[in-house]
Amino acid sequence: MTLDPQTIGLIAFGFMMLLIVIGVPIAFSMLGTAAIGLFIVGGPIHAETQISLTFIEQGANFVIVAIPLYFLMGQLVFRTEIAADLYDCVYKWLGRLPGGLAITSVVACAGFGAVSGGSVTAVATMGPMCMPAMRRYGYDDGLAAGCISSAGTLGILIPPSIILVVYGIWTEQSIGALFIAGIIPGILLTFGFAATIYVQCTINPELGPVGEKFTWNEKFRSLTKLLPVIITFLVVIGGIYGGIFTPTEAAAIGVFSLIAIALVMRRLSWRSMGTCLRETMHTTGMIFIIIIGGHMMGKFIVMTELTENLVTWITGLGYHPLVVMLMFSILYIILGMVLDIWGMLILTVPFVFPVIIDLGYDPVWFGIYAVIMSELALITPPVGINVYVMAKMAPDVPLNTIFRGVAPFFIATLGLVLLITLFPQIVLWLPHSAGMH
Amino acid sequence: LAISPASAGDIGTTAAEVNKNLSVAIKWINGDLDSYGSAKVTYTGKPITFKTSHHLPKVSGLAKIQIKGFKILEKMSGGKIKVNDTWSKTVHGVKDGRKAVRTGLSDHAPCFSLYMSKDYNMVHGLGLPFMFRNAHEAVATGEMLYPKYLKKEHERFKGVKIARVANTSTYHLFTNKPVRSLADIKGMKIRAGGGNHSKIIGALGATQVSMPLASAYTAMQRGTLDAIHSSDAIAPIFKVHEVTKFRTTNGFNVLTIEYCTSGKFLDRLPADLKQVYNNWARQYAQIEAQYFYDRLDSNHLAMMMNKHGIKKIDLAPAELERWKKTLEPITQNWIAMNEKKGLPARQFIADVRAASKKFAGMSANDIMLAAINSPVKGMYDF
Amino acid sequence: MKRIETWLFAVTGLLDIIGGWIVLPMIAIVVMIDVILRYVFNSPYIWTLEFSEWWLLLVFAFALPECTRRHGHIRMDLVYGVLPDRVKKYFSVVYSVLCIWLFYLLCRHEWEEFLYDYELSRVTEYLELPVWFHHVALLAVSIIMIIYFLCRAISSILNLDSFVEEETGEIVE
Ligand code: NA
Ligand code: NA
Repeated sequence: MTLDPQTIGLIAFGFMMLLIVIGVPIAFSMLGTAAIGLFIVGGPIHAETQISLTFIEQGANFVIVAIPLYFLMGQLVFRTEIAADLYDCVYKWLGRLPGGLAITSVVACAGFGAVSGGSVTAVATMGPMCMPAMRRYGYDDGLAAGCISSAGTLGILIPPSIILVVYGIWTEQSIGALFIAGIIPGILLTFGFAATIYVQCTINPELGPVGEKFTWNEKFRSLTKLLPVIITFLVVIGGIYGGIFTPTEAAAIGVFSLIAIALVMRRLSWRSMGTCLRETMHTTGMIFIIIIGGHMMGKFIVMTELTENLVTWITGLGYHPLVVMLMFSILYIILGMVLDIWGMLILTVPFVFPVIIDLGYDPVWFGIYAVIMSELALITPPVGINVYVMAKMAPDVPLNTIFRGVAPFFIATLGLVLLITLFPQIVLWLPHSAGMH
Repeated sequence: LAISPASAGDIGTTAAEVNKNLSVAIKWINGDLDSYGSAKVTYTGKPITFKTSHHLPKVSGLAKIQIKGFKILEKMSGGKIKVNDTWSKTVHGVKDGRKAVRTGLSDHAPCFSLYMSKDYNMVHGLGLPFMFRNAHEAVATGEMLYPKYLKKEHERFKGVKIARVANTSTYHLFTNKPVRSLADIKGMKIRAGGGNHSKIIGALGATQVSMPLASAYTAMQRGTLDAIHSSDAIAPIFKVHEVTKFRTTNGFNVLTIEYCTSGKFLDRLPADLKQVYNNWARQYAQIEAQYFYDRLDSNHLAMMMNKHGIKKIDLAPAELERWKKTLEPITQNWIAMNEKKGLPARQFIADVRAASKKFAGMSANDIMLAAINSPVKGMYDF
Repeated sequence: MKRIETWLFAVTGLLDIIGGWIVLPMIAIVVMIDVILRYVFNSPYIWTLEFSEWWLLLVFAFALPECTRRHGHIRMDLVYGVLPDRVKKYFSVVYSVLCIWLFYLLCRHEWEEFLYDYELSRVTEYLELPVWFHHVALLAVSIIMIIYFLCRAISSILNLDSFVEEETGEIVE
């Protein structure tokens, strides 16, 4: 009996989902499925050669140097208390607004995101600072925990972003352009989150009372604490925008600026440096296998003609591109409930990317869209990693309460998705004007 | 001794001229030739599959021409060779074509010696300065001298045979300030590839910057680069003409970009189809050089000059001699280095120069016809 | 089995430390130097890219075993998390067997590639770093991974208290 490639592809897809459900790590589920698929379609030599080729091609790819380094930046900001300073300063300025402490948390998370590459680190870093403060002022538990969980996702939209690096590698788009494209949507989402809090707390001041009052003198003096973050962001993103160095080089520069700043401030010990590096290795190992798994799956899927058929099918339906986007958005939301952000990205990009490009959407635009949609995965029940991490830090707040608190931010994020779908220029204007795309 | 650079080949400056000068190649690719060589197909068995792979996407210009070329192979084999082509890094990346062929993932793939330069010695002689005027004369030379000088180092990699010796067209200098003399180029930061390219840039007193050609656009805009070293064929693909104003014709050198074929695939072929394959490979080597690189060179240069106001600067003859003299030590050092390894480098370069001169005296159509009617012998052992 | 566990985890930990403390910082420094040379001294080092790429593979290779044994890979806990321990163990065996097979394939191929590149003494473009070293590194890591998953599968089947799932308490990006 011989199966046609598409049937093999569908069986493989089902098999992969089965592996994922029984708890095999997502990356190994993909790598394993792809290897078995290539083994069946192309024979043992094909499978083993492709595994080896992928390990070496991806493992020795200069662009990927950026991943451990951007993660290391986040670790450094966290462990040298630059993050605490950031929070302190933002608090002095925004604390007096309705829901001011929550707004502070959002803006501080955005600031953290501007100097680090991931999302969960943001929650883990900002959570222990923001949560006790909001508790002290009697903030609603749902709003407090919900805003931190949600604002943590800003870090992967605001450059630098590890997720955008991986997207860029998979789809062969300019990582610099993707980074720059993330800036405006990132700022908009930060404003959107802050506005969500502002409106909620203006309607119902019980939710988030105003914070402490500071004198202008105190406010202005606190600004110096913002310097490390501002300097690092300007060096890294300014350098990329100005074409002075590549995103990969920028990552190294970012790491050394942070180390230099921390040394000047006398905040870096060998011990904390060691912890940073070990944590970085840990994440690096994980992301590496994800990249390998994604690539292998891509190679296998091409052999099954699954994507080609999907593209033909969807194009054949003749729907308006906006309708197709709506369908994809619903798909992303559903997948995002059960998957985490990496799972989302590896499962969807190989299939959805060709369709989207075929519909005439811009690949950089789609990168930003996919990242925003995948971010939702981090905060939607039942599996939302940011919420879980948050729950660990505030064990007395029930998960349900946090998920409820997340809801308004979820809606705000969808608002941004709608906005960039209707006005793609929001995403593309900055990279265009930088001549990067 | 060195060849003088042609201005984007001698194949014409208008589309009509180019079409006339490349008429045989154009007929070849359209399937309109009466004869595609003398091999007769007698094999009556099942068609034999020929798996090809490439890191380029299917929509790229080069891929489109290669796909047409594969169709001609199927036609030449009377349908007995069936091409199964894959694109876009789905099988391997830019540096792993040879490995893919060696391990049986593919029967035909790019294996550019320029990305594995330490694996080869003699082949780099083809990329030395001022050897060729254009791609098709370089390919004719490379193919002709392959059996005697290059086969051994290519077949060092077990299971790998040459598909064709391919070359890009010549590289020129795209700048914002006019470059008319050696003094003008001194100190410039120039985007160029490694290997012979970087030696050339260095010998001219400029600084070689290695970055992807795709990034050169932004770097040029921002002033972190002063010039881009590129062929006319490739330049507009990376929008080089949008960020530069002048193009100095110097035709420093060509890049060698070989393709390899799996030995196992050749073994699977019956004698008649082997002959067909060899004939096709010799012909297609010329096609890619003429129809892709040289034709594009002319078309793109004309487009850049006429539509984008790029000013072409041809060096004064005396100045050109100075450039050649400045770069000659690169060739001499290369010869000395390889002679020391016991390789016949001096004779090779002498033969390259003689062949290059001979082909420079022939028209592109004559060279194409020669590839069809008297293909180089000894590329394979059959 | 406990002894193997201690020994194996010492090896994975050591690799992790080498990768994190030596190789990764070295790459960061070289990338940095490249940028400085390019802008301050107007002279780029062409070899830095090759240097970084060559070593980067080792960072990944060295990070993998430790990350795996610390259960650092992302998975979907939705179903798995609520399963009884007995069932979890079966699934852990499935995961282990799958990975043993994957790393066996990699291991076999790397051995052949090592012999091939070593015989031809292939080296990289500028620094002439040995190409075969990559194959040796991946070969070694594959062997470690195979041993790990083998022990894990055996421990699961025999109900031993080594190589068990444990909450590492670490936060993973
Ligand atoms: Na970020
Ligand atoms: Na979710």
